[in-house]
Amino acid sequence: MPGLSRRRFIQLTGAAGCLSFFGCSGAERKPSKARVLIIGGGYGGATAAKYIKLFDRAIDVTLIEPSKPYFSCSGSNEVIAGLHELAWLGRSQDPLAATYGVHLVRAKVAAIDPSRRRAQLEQGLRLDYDRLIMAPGIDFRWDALAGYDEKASEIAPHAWKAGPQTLLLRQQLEAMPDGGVVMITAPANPYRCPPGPYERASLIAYYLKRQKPRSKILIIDAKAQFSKQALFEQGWKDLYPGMIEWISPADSGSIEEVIAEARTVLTEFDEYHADVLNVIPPQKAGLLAERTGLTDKSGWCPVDPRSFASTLLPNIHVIGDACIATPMPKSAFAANSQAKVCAAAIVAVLNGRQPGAPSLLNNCYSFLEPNYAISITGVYEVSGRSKQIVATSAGETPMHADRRREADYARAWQKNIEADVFR
Amino acid sequence: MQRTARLAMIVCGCVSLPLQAAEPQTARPDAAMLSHNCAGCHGTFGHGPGKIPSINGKPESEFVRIMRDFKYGRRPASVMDRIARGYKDEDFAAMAAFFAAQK
Ligand SMILES: Cc1cc2nc3c(=O)[nH]c(=O)nc-3n(C[C@H](O)[C@H](O)[C@H](O)COP(=O)(O)OP(=O)(O)OC[C@H]3O[C@@H](n4cnc5c(N)ncnc54)[C@H](O)[C@@H]3O)c2cc1C
Repeated sequence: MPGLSRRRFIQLTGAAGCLSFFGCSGAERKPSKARVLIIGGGYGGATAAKYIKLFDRAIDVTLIEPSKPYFSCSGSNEVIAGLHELAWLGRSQDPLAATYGVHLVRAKVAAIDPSRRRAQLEQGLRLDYDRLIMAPGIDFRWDALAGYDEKASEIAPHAWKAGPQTLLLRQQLEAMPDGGVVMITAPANPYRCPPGPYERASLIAYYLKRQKPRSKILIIDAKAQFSKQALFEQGWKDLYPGMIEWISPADSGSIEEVIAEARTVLTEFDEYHADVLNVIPPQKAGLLAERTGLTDKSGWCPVDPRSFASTLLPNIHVIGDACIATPMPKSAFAANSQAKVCAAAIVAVLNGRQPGAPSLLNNCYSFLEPNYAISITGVYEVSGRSKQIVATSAGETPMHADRRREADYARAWQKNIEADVFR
Repeated sequence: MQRTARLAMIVCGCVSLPLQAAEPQTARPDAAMLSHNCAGCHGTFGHGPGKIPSINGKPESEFVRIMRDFKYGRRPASVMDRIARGYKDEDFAAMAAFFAAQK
């Protein structure tokens, strides 16, 4: 364990988990087969940690995540609408240590040295790996939208990473007078959670309809069409007539500038003012992935979908929002599914086997109100010829389907995915 | 997990696995690979509380019948019909064996 004193490591990992880096305290365990380091304890990274251990307990797995608790983005639109409190989004990775023997390190990784296969923590400590899984989620392209930088996000929140930003947007909605205008800007593809901006508009409408019924919601979009569009528009007509207006770039031109203090958005042809401004900015893979050299010019990480191994650097895999897995959306469900493919492939390779054929799945629900939800589904495999991910089926909630039942499913999904990832 | 790995081998025919991997067009994902994706909604190993049905311990023939009914539009659904259409009929047998073995 170069660069990391035992005492310091124990401080970082806490009491939980078997410290097999040094020979397990129980001493009954054989020396580990290999060390897998996972960066990011969100939906992707936490799933990978659990499933590597489920597949092969002899592999030493360390999960590095600075946030405690980790706040789930999935569900955060419900918190913004006042349906739950922020604490409801909190998740802990602790059970992964207690149940599966994953080592947890509460720290941020500052840098990776791919040639030495070593991660450097912000505290200056270093951890070596045989295989690295990067699951850092997204970061924002603060230079991509004029006027919208990190400082501006304290006035016009993005709320696209859950936590204080979620609360800020909610507080602004609560402080807004009846008759106010809420404006949401939605980015071009690809970005985290394609239906998310429209679910957000719906649930904000749910809140406003009850509390401030004369208010309006404007969505200024960078794209001419969006996920589950027909279903959202039908729902808006039925539930919130006249309340939500979606503005396509075909009408207003591209989004050019944000003036956060004035809560104003300038497009090519128009100028829009609001009382509450939620800017969902253009995104890229988590900064650490970029700094490590795992991203291409798109800002995201190219991978071989059979194992989610980086196509740019050896012994590193990238899963979740950070990777390019088109046509899969950037969702918690997709991150969970990718993590299982990656875990199975790593376990196969570390045991001298060839990885099997992958299977991938996505099923994302969006709430339009608490008892009204819609979904989008995709089943995927990797084409033997092109080595690309292909959808073998894709679909949305049929127009006639029972939205209340989908809402029940959506709530059950939230509970089950939480257990599948974090426990 | 060993049980699951063994099961996967039985289902796919253990000896032919490496050969299949060399011919990617014909290789199907193994039972564990297919089935762990179901956990996203149905819970790890198919144990899910709540309104999405648990699928652990379901008799194999019933599992296969239900999935085929979803796939071919014989069973009303708004989610599972779309999902079932993404799989080959042989995949249902593999998943059925996996979940039948989960208690
Ligand atoms: C409003 C909203 C609603 C959503 N709703 C849904 C939904 O209903 N269904 C769905 O499937 N998806 C939903 N999503 C999408 C989902 O949240 C993401 O796709 C998912 O979180 C991606 O998982 P991930 O593991 O890639 O990244 P994350 O969950 O973001 O996890 C990344 C983790 O890496 C850590 N990290 C980053 N850098 C470092 C570093 N240098 N060192 C150590 N740790 C680091 C971070 O702290 C973070 O915890 C929603 C998203 C939003 C914004």
